[in-house]
Amino acid sequence: MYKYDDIDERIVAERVTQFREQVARRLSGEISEDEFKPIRLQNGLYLQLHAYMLRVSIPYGLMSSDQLRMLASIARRYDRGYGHFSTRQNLQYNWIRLVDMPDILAQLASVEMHAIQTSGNCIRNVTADHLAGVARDEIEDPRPIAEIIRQWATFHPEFAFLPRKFKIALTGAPSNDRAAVRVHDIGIRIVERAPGQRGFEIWVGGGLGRTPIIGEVVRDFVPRRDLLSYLEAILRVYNRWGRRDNKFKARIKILVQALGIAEFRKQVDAEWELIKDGELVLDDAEVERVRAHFSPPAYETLPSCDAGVAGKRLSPNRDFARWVQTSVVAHKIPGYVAVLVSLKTPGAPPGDVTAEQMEAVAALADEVGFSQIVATHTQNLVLPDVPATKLELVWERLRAKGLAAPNVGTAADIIACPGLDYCTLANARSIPVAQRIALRFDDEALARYGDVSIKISGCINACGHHHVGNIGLLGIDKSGEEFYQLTLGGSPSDDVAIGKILGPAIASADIVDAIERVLETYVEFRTSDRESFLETYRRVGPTPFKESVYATHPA
Amino acid sequence: MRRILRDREITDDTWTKLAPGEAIPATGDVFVPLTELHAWLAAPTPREGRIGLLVGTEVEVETIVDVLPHVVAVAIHYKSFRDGRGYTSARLLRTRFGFRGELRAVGDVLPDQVFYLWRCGFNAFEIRADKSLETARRALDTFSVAYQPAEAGPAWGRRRLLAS
Repeated sequence: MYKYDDIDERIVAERVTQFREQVARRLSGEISEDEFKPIRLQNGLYLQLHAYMLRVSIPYGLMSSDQLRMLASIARRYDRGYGHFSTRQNLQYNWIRLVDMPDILAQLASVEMHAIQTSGNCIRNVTADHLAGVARDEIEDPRPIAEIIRQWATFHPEFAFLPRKFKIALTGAPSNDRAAVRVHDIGIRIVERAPGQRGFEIWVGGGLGRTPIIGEVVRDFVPRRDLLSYLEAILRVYNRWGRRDNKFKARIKILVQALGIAEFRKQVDAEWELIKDGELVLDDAEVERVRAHFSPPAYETLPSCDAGVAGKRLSPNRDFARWVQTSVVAHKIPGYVAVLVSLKTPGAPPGDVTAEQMEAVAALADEVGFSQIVATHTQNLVLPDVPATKLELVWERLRAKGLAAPNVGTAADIIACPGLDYCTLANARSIPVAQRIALRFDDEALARYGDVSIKISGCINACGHHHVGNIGLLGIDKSGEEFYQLTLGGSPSDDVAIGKILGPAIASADIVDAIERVLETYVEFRTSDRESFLETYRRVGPTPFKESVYATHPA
Repeated sequence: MRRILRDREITDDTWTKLAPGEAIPATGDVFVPLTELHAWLAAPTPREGRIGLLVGTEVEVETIVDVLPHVVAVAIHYKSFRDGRGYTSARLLRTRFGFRGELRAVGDVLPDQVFYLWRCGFNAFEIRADKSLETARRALDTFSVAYQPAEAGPAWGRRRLLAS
């Protein structure tokens, strides 16, 4: 993984010094809260309902075991002994004191971490496919390019006060987008135009929130040398012409819609033409310097494990077999697999992880992997390099810490925003609904329903990405009562779609029943258990689901 | 006399700003709004002192290119320090339109924004009256290295590495 050199170290250390001095001026009253807000946000610090929330940046989700141990240590010392993995591969603490912030940032810096630009109207943490580097279906590891973009975006002086936040995601897998690039402000797909001729397909203007919009291709091929200048051209057009009069109309998607993709492309091209041969030309030597940090670890030569893993899925130990079915992913190196670690313990808030659990995962990464861990945008973790022969051991170790729920990718693997329990914007609770859904379905039911995604947002800002859930729930407030609007058919991947509202919103007390009816309707209508929920929904349409949900549950 | 930060030094400032509709005074250094500047350029009167252009962050810099040869300074007025358009305007004025005169940030300009403003090409700062000029001056040295090219400030670290 990327290792800081003296430049990276200096920049992060100088940021800590800067923020320490700014916090002192805030505490002395020299800076007002209004003036301090963008400063603290660009250092990852939100003011939530009860306390400050700190969002630590995990570039493209990749952590070393030492970094994860530091996150655990900070959770113990400065928070309440746990952290929360977010939908953008970051980690959040919910109970931070402002006076502790400079010390926390200094401790993060000691393990090459920071909270830079994890919030605020700037270019946020760059995310990527959580199987980057190990996926069989990728043509190129996107992380070196993600790191190059991270550096370009960090403290970019021109783009620190954009109209609104700005999120970039990358994938190197041509047909299996796990990074949701089509619903980002900029999505980047590594593509191969001809053998050996790689570049980037650039999507722009996607996003969820109040106005869910699927991005469009602004350029189908940008050569590597031109990537940074092309991104700078997009950001410059957005910074100049994006709306600043209404924060709900300020994302780049609104500008792209207002201009139309053709006119937007024209403006970007005009800007790009003037800067593409300038200083930002991406040097091969710099790409190679960064890429060297991501060279494959010292894999052993092992026999193929595909048949062996298939066998383990049928193991007489039913708990282990189910876990293998949901948690083990094929790896590009024979004999290795990637293991998905569920942070969706039934009854616990999705994405929450205790300090002890973080330390256990870190120790496991040292023991059976190469000391690396990846956070997924679905709020789980990945152990990317596990020899298949170690699967029983990994399962035992994870199970001992409550991390082996066989539910990744199932109806219990729910994405939820913090909701009314933590957030000042929310209309309804998200986490308790997620907990009730997860507790409703036992492992047999989850296996029967198969691959299905449920995503819950507590308000129309859509932090729980409900628009792209196969099943989405949006919390709304009806005269002080929590109701949930149900959407079906969403997807964030290559088959990207915004879910459609099924019918009237459903009271909190009835919502879990409604979801069970939706899933049972799927089982009833599917052609076989190889047809997924989404496939069935797309084939049969909403009517049978509507009939089953609302026949016995008038809103 | 007003004190400002200019070219990294805290210094006295002689400039005034003309309100829209006002006549350009016969003497003194003055920042003039675009309409008044156009009018004056159409029929210039002899005067003592320098002329600068005063625009808001909403300015489309392409529309002021023709007057740049006639002014020694451009002031960009920030109604709110949160308005990021001025950063792009400054870079375009410096790189695309080759403006070499004084580029001054005025209005809601706070010490904590000075570093990025400077990186984008501003070289003079009227810090809001209730804020510390000394803090603003120190902020210019916040970082000793940068991750991207810009108009001023620390070098782009990666470029230095590549060149060596």
